[in-house]
Amino acid sequence: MADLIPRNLHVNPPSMIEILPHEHVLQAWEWWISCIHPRAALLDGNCCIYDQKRWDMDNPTELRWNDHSQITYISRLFLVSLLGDISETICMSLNEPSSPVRIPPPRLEEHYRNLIAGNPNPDNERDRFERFRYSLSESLAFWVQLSYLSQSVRGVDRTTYSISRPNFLPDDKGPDGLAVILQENNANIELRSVKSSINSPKALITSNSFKNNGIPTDGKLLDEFYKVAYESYGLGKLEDLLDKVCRVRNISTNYETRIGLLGTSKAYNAMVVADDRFASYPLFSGFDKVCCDATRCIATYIGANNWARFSDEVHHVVENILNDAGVI
Amino acid sequence: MYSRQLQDQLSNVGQIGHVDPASIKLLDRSMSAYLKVLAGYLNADMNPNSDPLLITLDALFISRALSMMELSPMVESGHYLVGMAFEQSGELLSRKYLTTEQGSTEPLKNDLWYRLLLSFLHYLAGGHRVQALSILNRLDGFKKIVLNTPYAGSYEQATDSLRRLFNGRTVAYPVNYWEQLFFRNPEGISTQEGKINRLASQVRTRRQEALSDLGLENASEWLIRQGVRENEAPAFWEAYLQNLEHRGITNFTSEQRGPNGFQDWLQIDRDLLVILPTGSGKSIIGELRTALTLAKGRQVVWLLPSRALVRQAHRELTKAFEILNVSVEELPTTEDFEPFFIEDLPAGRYVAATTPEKLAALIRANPDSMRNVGLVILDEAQKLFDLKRGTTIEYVLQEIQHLLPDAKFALMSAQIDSMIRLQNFFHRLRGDRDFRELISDRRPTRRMYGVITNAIEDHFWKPELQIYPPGLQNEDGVTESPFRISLQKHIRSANPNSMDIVQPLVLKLTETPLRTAVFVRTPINTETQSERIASKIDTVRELPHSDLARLRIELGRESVIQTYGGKGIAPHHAGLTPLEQHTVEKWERRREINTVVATSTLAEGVNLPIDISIITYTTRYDNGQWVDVPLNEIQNMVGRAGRAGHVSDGLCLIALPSNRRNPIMVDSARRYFFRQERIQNFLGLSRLLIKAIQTHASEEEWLYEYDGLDFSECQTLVNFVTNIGLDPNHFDNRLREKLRQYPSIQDLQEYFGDGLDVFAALNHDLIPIAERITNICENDPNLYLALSRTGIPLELLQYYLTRLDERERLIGQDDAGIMIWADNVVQNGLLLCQNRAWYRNIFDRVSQNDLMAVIHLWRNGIPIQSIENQLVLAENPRQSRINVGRLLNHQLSMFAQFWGALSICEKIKYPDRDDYMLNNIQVYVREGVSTLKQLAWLNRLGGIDRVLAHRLERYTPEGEGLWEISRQIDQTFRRWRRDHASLPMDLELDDLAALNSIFEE
Repeated sequence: MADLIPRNLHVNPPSMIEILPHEHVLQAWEWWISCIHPRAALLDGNCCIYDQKRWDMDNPTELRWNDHSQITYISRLFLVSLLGDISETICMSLNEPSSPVRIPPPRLEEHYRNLIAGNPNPDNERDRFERFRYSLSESLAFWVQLSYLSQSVRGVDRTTYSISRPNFLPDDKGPDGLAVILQENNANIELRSVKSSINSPKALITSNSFKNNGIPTDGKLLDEFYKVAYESYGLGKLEDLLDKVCRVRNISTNYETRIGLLGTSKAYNAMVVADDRFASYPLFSGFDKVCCDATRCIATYIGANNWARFSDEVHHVVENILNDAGVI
Repeated sequence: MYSRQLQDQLSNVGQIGHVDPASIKLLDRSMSAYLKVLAGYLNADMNPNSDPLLITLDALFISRALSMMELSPMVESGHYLVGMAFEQSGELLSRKYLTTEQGSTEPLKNDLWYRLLLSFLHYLAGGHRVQALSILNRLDGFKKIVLNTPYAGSYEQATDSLRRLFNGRTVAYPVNYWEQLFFRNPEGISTQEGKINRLASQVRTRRQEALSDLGLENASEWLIRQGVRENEAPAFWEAYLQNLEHRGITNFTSEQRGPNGFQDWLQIDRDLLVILPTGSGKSIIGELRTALTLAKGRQVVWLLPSRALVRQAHRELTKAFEILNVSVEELPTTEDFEPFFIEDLPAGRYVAATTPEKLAALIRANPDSMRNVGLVILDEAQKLFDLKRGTTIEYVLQEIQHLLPDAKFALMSAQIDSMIRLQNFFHRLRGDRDFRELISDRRPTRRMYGVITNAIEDHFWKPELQIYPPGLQNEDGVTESPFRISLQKHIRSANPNSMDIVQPLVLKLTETPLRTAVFVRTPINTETQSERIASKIDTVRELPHSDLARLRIELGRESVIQTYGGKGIAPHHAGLTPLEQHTVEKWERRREINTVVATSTLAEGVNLPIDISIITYTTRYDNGQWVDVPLNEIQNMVGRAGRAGHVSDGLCLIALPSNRRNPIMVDSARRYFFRQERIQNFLGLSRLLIKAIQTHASEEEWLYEYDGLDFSECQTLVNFVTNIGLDPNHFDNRLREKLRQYPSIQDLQEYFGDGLDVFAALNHDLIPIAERITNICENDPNLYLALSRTGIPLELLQYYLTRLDERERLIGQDDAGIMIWADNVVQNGLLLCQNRAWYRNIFDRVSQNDLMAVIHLWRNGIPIQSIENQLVLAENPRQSRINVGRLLNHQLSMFAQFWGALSICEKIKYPDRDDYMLNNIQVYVREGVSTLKQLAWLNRLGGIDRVLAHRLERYTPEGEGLWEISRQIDQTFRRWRRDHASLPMDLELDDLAALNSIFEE
């Protein structure tokens, strides 16, 4: 609910428990924004912008489970996106001061506790790791999108943006998240949907029936984008996401009406988090069936040298931070 | 598309965000989303391509903002546009995806249902009731689709609660989730629920303003201001307003209120001219005037041009007034020379709905019956300019004005192009009496216009739709980039004609949930095209058994509408029996079929819920040459697309084939859609008199030949020049006096100006006719009387009057014996005239002997097939069947007049008797019955089930006279309908099924 409270009304009672001091938050963000590569450009003949993410400008690399400092920063960013105030996070990305991550006492809310430190299911220990991995993929997708917003509006007059929190506990159909760049006469909306896989993600991205005949099936990234566009799929979710991004930035009703009348523009960001070795542009073939304007189709591949191991490492650090804070 | 109304909405809403209306993309995107769904149904490519997600995002932004604003005219416009955006991007789609399977998803997670809900709430929050009703009807339909599914109860509760919201009801104690959501302000609700609740709250706020402008809180004072001072009036008016509220009519459009509010036009002593597009709520305006007149204790007559419209008006007026103890009835008078049911109108508050012809018959037979009428409402007033009907309508209005000088008139029309003519007519008819106008061209439905043509692709012709983008259009505009929808179907012909390019489109459309009307040139085309398209459809659907039984009884064979109806397509033309026409319309309304291939007659009937209308011709063969179809007729046909309260968006297409040298672009059709053609023809009596002069009706032999005019025109002309007395010295003055009363003649004088004395010019030709009649009838006053009352040719009347010397021999004979004698007299009388021009004209297609044989079968309740076997009216069997149908539908009533004239002659020759034997013979011939019991059954069944009426005769309770028999039959019918166990055990299965079809209507 934190993101629903207008920023100027937000108070931090003295009894709040600090999870991350604001310096840690800022360090993590500064690391992220300084080393993540900007979004790739559209290549001739491609049906979408293929953006295989890389970090470190001098020595480009995928996410690495064996890079301790990277694991530490990403663990913090995960906690910021999980527990931080979304409007403060956006402000930080716009070069305003950072804020600490605090939660009300005595402990973490139950569903978050279950996500991070829930009792392992003796029958299926993998469940717990999978759930975390899924949440981490949502968080990474969020930060990738936020860094794109931050990089693309820097220096552009009278432009700001908003973004929805990661979809940690998905229940509704529809896109996982949404970001919007707000200009005087336009709102540029980018939908994001995220899939995570420790194997080849191919089966999660699109179905053969969609790729070959344009007939969408359930549970696939591109197929569901198509349904969102053409079959009113996930309208309630879309409305909820728009509502959230508007509230976060206190957008006036007059301005909302204005951008609605002048016409929004939109893009689809199909985000996949998996082992970097599986990354390839052809995974996303069929994107043109969602939208024929390739500049509006973004295929983001967030690769790790070992995604399962990377997630476990982050999980471990997150757990330690929360243990140290005494909230789980 | 898109009327000025939409542009006004844009200007209004643009003020909220300081947006220049010209830069608003909403209309373009919304229409594009609609067309994209259509292209999807057609498996066609669309260019420019559409991304419906854009309009969704735009609408969601505005929707969220509007839900948090205070109501204002700007916000109301915003609500309209958002409602439209959600509807256009969701309604067509919902026809495919809102299926039974969706019943296992709860309503708010059902995306298409939710989209429609948002559309409904926005429309209603903005006060756009007609559009909201379309959506509500759609949601209501879905509620029925998901019966017996896990969330059936939720959908039912939700839809019922929406209906209550629409009807302006309050819910004091919400009993379910939906009532809480719509009628309370619950806490702890989601984003989605929060918005629904805020929009519902805006709807409820509107209701507060509801009926106060109509004097809900201060009826007495309000009525006095409107000119009604009677003691009982306030109680009646309050009860009427309460019923209005109960029916959910709690707010009105600005067009209905008028520029100066209700108090200005809703005055008891003012006439009213209403010109509003179909579906704009003309009826409620007429209803309010009716209520005010009833409050004053006066009676009201509604005049409508067809039986179907009379029935519809009767139903609506019954809903409005029956609960207030007002008698509402379809005037039972028949339109014969000697009409049935000519008693005085019942005492007390009374509303009658009828056709001009029937009222004319009542006025002729019993003019005093209407003495308490205070208001006459003429709906579809543009029929005044109709070639066939105009004279009668003008006569009726003129006579009522003469009989009831203090009665008020309300003329209502949907055709803005008739405005100036109607205004002129009104002024001429009513002089300087006080009157008001409610005139607007704002349509409640949206129309998209375009062409269907053929475009070259890969060396082949393919059908292509080109549609004008949104924005005000005119005849001279230029379309730079129309929406193009290209079908993936080759056209085989190298030089395709209209039907070649339309056929693949209609074939596809018939297999979708869209409803289409295709207008073709001739009746036979409706059938051949239906056949061609049906032959390419494999899926066969089951048609309602009860309707098929009903058709079987009447026709005695399979109907052509059944043959193709199973494939989702049916023909509709004036050569089908009225039952077949009625059934096609019913099937289209109930989605039993999707496509109607029709002649222009479909455009003159009751409105159907059509999504797409396609015109396949713009010229027709008339009197030996090809002529352009009048623009009014084309616009009336394309205007069938969209129906207020049912289909908000209509796509209107004209088929214009391209060839290699002359590719058709959408601008080729501008003149058909965007030219306003004023009605220029002379109307009513003036048209007839001009035609009479042009055809030299004043010449010596004309009275015997009736040449140059239609038979009915000859009758009207003769009727006009009689009734001016027998003294030739007064002919000029009396004719002038009579002519002066007719607005159309004043119109004519103005047209010619001071250069011509129209009265003198007309009398120059009319007086010789009058003199000749006087001379011929000098020694035979009975002949003069018969001529003036019937207009039937003199020789025939002379023969009738002579044969009636045999009357005494008929006394004591039964109906059958009398009919045989009457048939013989008519038969021989006509034979005497076989060399006359009028005889040759009316028997040009059917011989007299064949006609007599057909009438015999027709009256005896023989199914249509046997009549068709008796009569061959063309070499092609299909054309012959169509011609027989036309004869029975349209010409029989004219032939029946020969029997009616015999009946009149009996009364003239034997005045003041109480045993007239020939009273019924005209109506029997016209309606196809041979006893009063059959006639009463036929009326009770709705007038189109002739054979069934014969079959049910044996179940008639005893009674004397038509009134009593009708009353008894009505009771029997109601009992059967209420309690099926009371139906006779020996009814045949088909009869039972046919009755069920009628009951459920």
